[in-house]
Amino acid sequence: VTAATAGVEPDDAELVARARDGDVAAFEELVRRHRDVAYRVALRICRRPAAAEDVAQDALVRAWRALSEFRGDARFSTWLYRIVTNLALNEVTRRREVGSEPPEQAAPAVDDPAARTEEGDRLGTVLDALDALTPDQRACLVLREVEQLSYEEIAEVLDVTVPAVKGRLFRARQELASALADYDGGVR
Amino acid sequence: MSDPTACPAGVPAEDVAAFVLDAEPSDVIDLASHVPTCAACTDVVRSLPGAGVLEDWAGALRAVVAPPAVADRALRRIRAERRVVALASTLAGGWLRVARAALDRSPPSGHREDRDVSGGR
Repeated sequence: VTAATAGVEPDDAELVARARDGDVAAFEELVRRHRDVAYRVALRICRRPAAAEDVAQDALVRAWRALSEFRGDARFSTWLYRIVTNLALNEVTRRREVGSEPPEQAAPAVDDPAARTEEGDRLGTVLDALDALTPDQRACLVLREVEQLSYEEIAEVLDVTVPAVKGRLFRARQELASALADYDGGVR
Repeated sequence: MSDPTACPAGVPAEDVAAFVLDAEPSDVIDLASHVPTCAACTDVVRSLPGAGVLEDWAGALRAVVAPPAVADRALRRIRAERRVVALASTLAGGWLRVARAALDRSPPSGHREDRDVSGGR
């Protein structure tokens, strides 16, 4: 009995199985479910909205093409994280070589103009601090703090060991804490 | 030369941070009982940003929605690829039929056109 015949939302594994059998509608549903995550991770690593759009789009197309190679022993989302993260890191490397658009501007989701300014400043500080990290550290921090992946999942996504994840996270958090401490010391 | 601030049990600072901030266990030592008794590890804990501070900015960074173009363009490319694959498959099938028909019409190996197959006069 499939989720569809039982009248409940199919999970990712079932959609993947259907998509592998050629059901495009099933893959379209996977795209709808995971497009925000793909774009968010790409944006947080690349820091450029237009580049992040391209990376997210590319990642979804590559996932479709490689669906037959997806082993199914990891979650679909972890597999997609891996594709997006690798493409985003490649994009950062490429950009360093050729230069490109300016980074995203901080746009906090707050209505009050005064609070908006302060939160925008703080978010801008965080974004600048993220930009100062190495791409690998930034990817680690985004996957842990923003996406809330486990250390094992991050290690799988980045194809490194868990101790390497611990090291990168430790240094990234130190940098970030230092930047935020400077900001708090400067405005308060 | 040894680092005077290092943990005597050899626990790296990143292990302490991972344990305190993310409840990530160490492979070599029980950190729950070790950290409170170790001055070096306690110093590491004091230097860490609070989990609340991290959660503050992480929440702001999480509030991102993909522009519609991301999914639209991806799905358009996938549909186009499927059409190309289907077309290629049709063409390949067509060529296969043409090739088979040509083989069926061609004489078998060693056949001689001038051999008399009428059965004689």
